[in-house]
This record gives sequence, structure tokens and C-alpha cells, in this order.
Amino acid sequence: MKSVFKFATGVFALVLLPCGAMAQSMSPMRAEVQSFTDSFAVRVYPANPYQHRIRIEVKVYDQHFNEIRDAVASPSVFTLGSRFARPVTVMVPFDGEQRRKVRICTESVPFPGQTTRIKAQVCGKFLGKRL
Amino acid sequence: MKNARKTIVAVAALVPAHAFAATGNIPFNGSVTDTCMITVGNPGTIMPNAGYTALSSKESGGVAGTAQILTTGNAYAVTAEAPSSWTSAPTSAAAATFAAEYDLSGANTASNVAGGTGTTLAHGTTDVSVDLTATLPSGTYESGTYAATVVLRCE
Repeated sequence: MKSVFKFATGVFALVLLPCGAMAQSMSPMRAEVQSFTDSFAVRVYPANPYQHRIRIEVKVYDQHFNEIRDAVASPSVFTLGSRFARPVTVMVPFDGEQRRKVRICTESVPFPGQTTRIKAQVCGKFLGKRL
Repeated sequence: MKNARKTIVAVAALVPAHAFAATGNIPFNGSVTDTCMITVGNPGTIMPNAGYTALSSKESGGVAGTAQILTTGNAYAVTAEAPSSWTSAPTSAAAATFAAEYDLSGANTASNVAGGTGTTLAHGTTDVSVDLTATLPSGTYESGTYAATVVLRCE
């Protein structure tokens, strides 16, 4: 019953977010989410602006850029085709707090195998509030 | 006089009767998503200095990494975070001290900004040039292949 309620809250939170993104690296970049349960959900849209497929990772960090290990991105690692975007759902626990600020980052290394690689990291800032 | 009247009547008959024009406004609406897009152009190349104590993209033969950032909002900032260790290096390689710098041109301009220092971006397309230097605290580099990753962040 609890998991059903959690799922329902997550869906409610997702509906509040703007959806639909064209070929951008990630959107939305800012959002405030309210939840009845001990976690909140955010849906982001990573996109691949390149002419080739890239491997993308979605990670969740706190305000000090420490990775939040118990946050779940689904999917967290995937390959995205050229000029394509796909939705990723991220569940973030409140960790006992009433509010939690997190960064959700889309990361990719488009040219692996070079001596100096540039990892592109696009991070959105999200605030979760427990009702 | 009679001919003149005939001419006027003929001309009047040739002129098309004007229909009453009706106008209507067709509204168009659109929105631009507030977002940031990074497109990495070229990865960089680091080369040793004369004393083989540093590997840098600023040395002769080195090449800065390039990227382009497109922002549609004015609340984003860019940083170029230097790595803390090599992604790959000879097994016996000593630990190095890494430093990244970046330059901006286009919609935003900045020069020789330390990688960890954030620069707020105005919306538009900005070209980013990233340099990396890896300095040994002591000793010299041994032969081998070295690779490191700079994190170009837009948030």
C-alpha cells in the first residue's frame, strides 16, 4: 500500500513538471517538486546534440557535489542516438528532511580515447518539498 | 460631350467592383525551454615542457579542448573542473597536480579563468576553450600515454 502511495505521489509530481524538450542537453533545469512521501520524483530530458551516438549517465548530487547514492535514476546509463532525447525519471529520498536541494546532472564524454577528454556535465537544480 | 459620357460609363464598367475586405488575426504562440546545451568540439592534447616536469595544452604542440555552450536563460554558470588524477597513465607514474583554465568568446567573454571559478553566462552561444596543465611536484615524466578528463559544467 505504501509503495502504491509513493508511486502515486511520484506520478503527481511528474505531472507538475514541464515536459517535452527539443534537442537540448537537458531540460528542465530548474524545478520545485512537492511530495507527500519520503521521496520526490523529477523527470528530465537528456538530449544528444551530436551527429553520433553517445553514452549518457544521469547522476544526482547534493549541494556540495557529493553524489547521492540512494537516489535512483531510471535509466541511469544509456546510449542516445544523434539528435535524440529521452525521458529519465529520478527518485530522490528526502533523507529525513522537509526540503532537499539536489543537482541532477547529465554527463557524457563524447570523444573518449583522447589524451585530454572533456566531460560535458549539464546540471539542473531541483528543490523537493515534503507536504 | 456624348462621347465623353460613353467613355466614362465604359471605364466605370471595366473597373471591378470592390468586395468589402474582411480581416482576421491569426495568433501564434510559442515558448523556448530554459536550458543549457554543451557541444564538445575537440578534445585537447597535452605536451611536455622542455624539462619534462609538466604536461600542458599550452606547451608547444599542445591543443586546447574546445566546446560550445548554448544557453537560453541568463541564470547559468560555467566551470571547468580539473581532474584529481589521471584517467590513464603508466603504472609507475607519479601523482600530478592538475590545473584547468578556460576562455570564453561569443555571447560571453572571459580570459584565463581558473577552472573552478564559475562565470555567469548571458543567453546565447558561447565558445569555450579549455586548457589543462599537469605538473609534477618533483621529478620528471616518464614515457607513456597519459589521459585526463576535464569536466565542463553548465548549471
